[in-house]
Amino acid sequence: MTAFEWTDGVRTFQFPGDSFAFADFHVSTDGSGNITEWFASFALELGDAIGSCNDPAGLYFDCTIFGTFGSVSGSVGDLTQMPVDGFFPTSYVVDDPGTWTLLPPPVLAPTLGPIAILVLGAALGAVSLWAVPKVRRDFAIG
Amino acid sequence: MLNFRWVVLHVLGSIALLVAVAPQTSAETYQYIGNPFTTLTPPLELADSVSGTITLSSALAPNLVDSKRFSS
Repeated sequence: MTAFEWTDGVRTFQFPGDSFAFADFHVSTDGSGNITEWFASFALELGDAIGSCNDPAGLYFDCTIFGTFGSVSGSVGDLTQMPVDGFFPTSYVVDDPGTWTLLPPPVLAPTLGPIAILVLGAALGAVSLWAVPKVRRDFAIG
Repeated sequence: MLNFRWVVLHVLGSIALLVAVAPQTSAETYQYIGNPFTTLTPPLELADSVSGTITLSSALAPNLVDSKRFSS
């Protein structure tokens, strides 16, 4: 995972940027690579977490761990806790998983990477080695 | 008559341009949209929900089983 942004509508956790007490992201996919089961939990500190879990059949992930933290019964969907006035109120939605979508790749402007710069340099060097002597010879003849 | 020297230069130049303007390898970003909370405490409101994006260095393969993508 190279980056993430995770929000509960009030706070937004970001990586890179924020410092996390724990950050876990696990997935299972179907035959097309779509995310079908997941466990995602990010916490700046214990009791200050935003998470989402979906595995109604209990095949891969123990979503009830959210219940342990939030006193929620059953297989939990999305949950958030935040420190408020010395305790950690919990908000959640159960048995109503959200959806994952693979975003289309961004349109990237052409950029010069290190390999491209080397190749360009080599090409320019070849131009100077091949073309310049010919120009001098043409002058000499003319 | 076709000058061999210029043919080589054109080939080199073409390769250089192709490499230079080729799109760089892009990461894959997955977006999660959760449903609004049904049980909540302030300062959250009923319209709030968990959502976010996760960016991976490559797309997820089919039929992954409990693939740990990140853990700390």
